[in-house]
Amino acid sequence: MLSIHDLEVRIADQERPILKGLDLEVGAGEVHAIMGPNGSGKSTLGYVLAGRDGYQVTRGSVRFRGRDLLAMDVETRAREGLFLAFQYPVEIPGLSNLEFLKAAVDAVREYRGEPPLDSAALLRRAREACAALRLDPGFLKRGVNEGFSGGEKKRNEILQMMLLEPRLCILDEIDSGLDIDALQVVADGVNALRSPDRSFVLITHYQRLLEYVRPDRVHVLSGGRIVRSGGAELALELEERGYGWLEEEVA
Amino acid sequence: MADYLATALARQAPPAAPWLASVRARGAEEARRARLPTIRDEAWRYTSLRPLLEGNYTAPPAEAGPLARWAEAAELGLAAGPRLVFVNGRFCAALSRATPLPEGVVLSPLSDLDEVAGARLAQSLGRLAPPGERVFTALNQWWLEDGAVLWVRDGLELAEPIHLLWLGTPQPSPASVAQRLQVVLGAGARATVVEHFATGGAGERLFTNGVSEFELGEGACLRHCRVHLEGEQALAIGLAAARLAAGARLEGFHAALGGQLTRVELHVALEGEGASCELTGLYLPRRREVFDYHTCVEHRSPNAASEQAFRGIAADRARAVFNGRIHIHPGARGSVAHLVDRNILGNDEAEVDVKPELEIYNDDVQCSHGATVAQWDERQLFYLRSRGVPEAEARVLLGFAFANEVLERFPLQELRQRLRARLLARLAVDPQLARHLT
Ligand SMILES: Nc1ncnc2c1ncn2[C@@H]1O[C@H](COP(=O)(O)OP(=O)(O)OP(=O)(O)O)[C@@H](O)[C@H]1O
Ligand SMILES: [Mg+2]
Repeated sequence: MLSIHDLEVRIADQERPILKGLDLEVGAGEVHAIMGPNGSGKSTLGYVLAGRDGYQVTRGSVRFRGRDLLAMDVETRAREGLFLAFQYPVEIPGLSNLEFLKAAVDAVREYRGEPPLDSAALLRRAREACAALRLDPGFLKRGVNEGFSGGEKKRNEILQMMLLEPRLCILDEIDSGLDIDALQVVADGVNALRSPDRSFVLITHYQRLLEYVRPDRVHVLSGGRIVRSGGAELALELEERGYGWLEEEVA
Repeated sequence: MADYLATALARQAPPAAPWLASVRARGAEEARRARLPTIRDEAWRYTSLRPLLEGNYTAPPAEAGPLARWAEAAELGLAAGPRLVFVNGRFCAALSRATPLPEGVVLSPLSDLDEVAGARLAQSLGRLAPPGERVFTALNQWWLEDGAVLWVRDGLELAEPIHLLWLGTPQPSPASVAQRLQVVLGAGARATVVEHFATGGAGERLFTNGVSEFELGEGACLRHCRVHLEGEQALAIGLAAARLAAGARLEGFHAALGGQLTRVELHVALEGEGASCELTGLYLPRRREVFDYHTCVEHRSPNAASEQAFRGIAADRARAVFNGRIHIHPGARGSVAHLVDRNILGNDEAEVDVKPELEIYNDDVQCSHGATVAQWDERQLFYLRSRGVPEAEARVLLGFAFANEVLERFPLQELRQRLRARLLARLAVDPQLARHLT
């Protein structure tokens, strides 16, 4: 599904790279967790994969579903099935959530050669997703993320994911700012989407999410590199011991 | 330049009632003493009159031809309320709609006023827009043939909006026309007036020189919508001047969504204690259009409040000008005045010139102003694209979102609908790009 090799990335105008030779393999149907200290480059990885401007790939390669991901523009990556749930979802006042969803779902469906959903069908699906996420359907009429609480924004990201049916879902701290019930709801949403041809990368600081969504692999990203990989039990160990011991080991 | 005024003054006036003839004579007299502004005049620094002068827009307009052709442009979709339509400056009963009005309300074209009403008008016309202060006001009076008055007696409330359409038709050669409106609301009276500027068909080489005056009695409330939906060869320069007595309120909603040159000057005098006004506006020039809003709100009495919120998007090689002025006089204690103007520069060749001006002559005020010019928001653009939305469509969605925040505040559902369609047509060169918003 996703194959990252020796990826080095810098911010356009800076000397020091943020990602310094990162390797990661995510197979179809797998769930991977990426943990790591603040500022280690987790969100940067998500942005680079999604194609955000301002990052410069100075080395390495990324293949997504067998194709060169870095050669695609942002929207093509999304239509090919890459989805990034933002750590900080963006507000777009004045554009309703539903209009936004329509445009996104249509674009992706068209690319896949599927007929456009008519407004009624889209509305029905969006309402179902709202119900599953325990979001009031009134959120569909409001401006995109406008004035949403932290937890509502996160659920709105999952709502988009449910409607877009991506192949690879990168969820950047989808669990931060969620209360305990909301975490369960979001985890259920993720689990419902798990399938043999859909993969997940969960960026998180907390073991808790991983109790609800069992990862196949856990990686530690530190100093711009994956410094340790393991099974689900690695997350528990990190929860207990923090990251300090790893840095010592690496050093 | 002198040539323009000279030809403008040489234009023959058709026969008129004595009261109108005196109004015109006064205009001619003032115009003779005046000169046209140039970009060396501060108020015209960013807006050149070149299209007006080069086209020499001074001749009277030609006849409009079959009216059926303009019926569609006359529609704003307003289901209820009276409509007065002026085609090339002259009242057109066939396109208008009369509805019963309460006793104590006069809504009439100037051409229908009797001698008594005409004399009353001649007395008050220009009180808020003196022809000696502004050359275009003087010319407006000199060219005046028709227009509208709305007089509402104390305490009366007009439930339905009044739709005034100034419609221009294609001209064989550049022509000019005067547009005029006077609204007088008695104490406690309330009304909604929609001034709608449109042109039918292409090639409408018409210059509309407008003056509107709004006199609001104590506690009166006027909702004033002014929308410019002209074609790309039309020129419009207009002044809307309001004076508010104590406790009166003006809510102004402005949209410029068409016209080669559209300049709107808004003067609001908060004359009485506790008067308030809110001006909301939206301007979206594209191609080579120039849209220019000049506002001036004067706080002349204590405890008056004003709020101005404008937004614009300049695309292609267009230019937007916004000059917002707040003037707080020495006695105007407890004034509250806020102004925000936000702009998006659609690309590098477009231009936005903004200038907030504050003049404050006492300490007991709450004042703020902010004007910004920005590019498209990169984070928003990326967010949309990361969901698969193509970049060109993402820009349309963002432009719409930005404008829609202002549009949502406009009154009258049908008007919002109509403006939304127009807005989308401007934002999306290819209509497909707006298909998720219709
Ligand atoms: N636009 C930028 N300009 C300068 N530095 C940047 C920029 N974006 C990211 N960085 C830096 O890159 C490093 C990695 O940031 P990133 O957001 O990827 O960290 P993270 O692992 O997601 O952290 P957190 O766990 O706090 O979310 C940080 O030191 C950050 O300050
Ligand atoms: Mg992060």
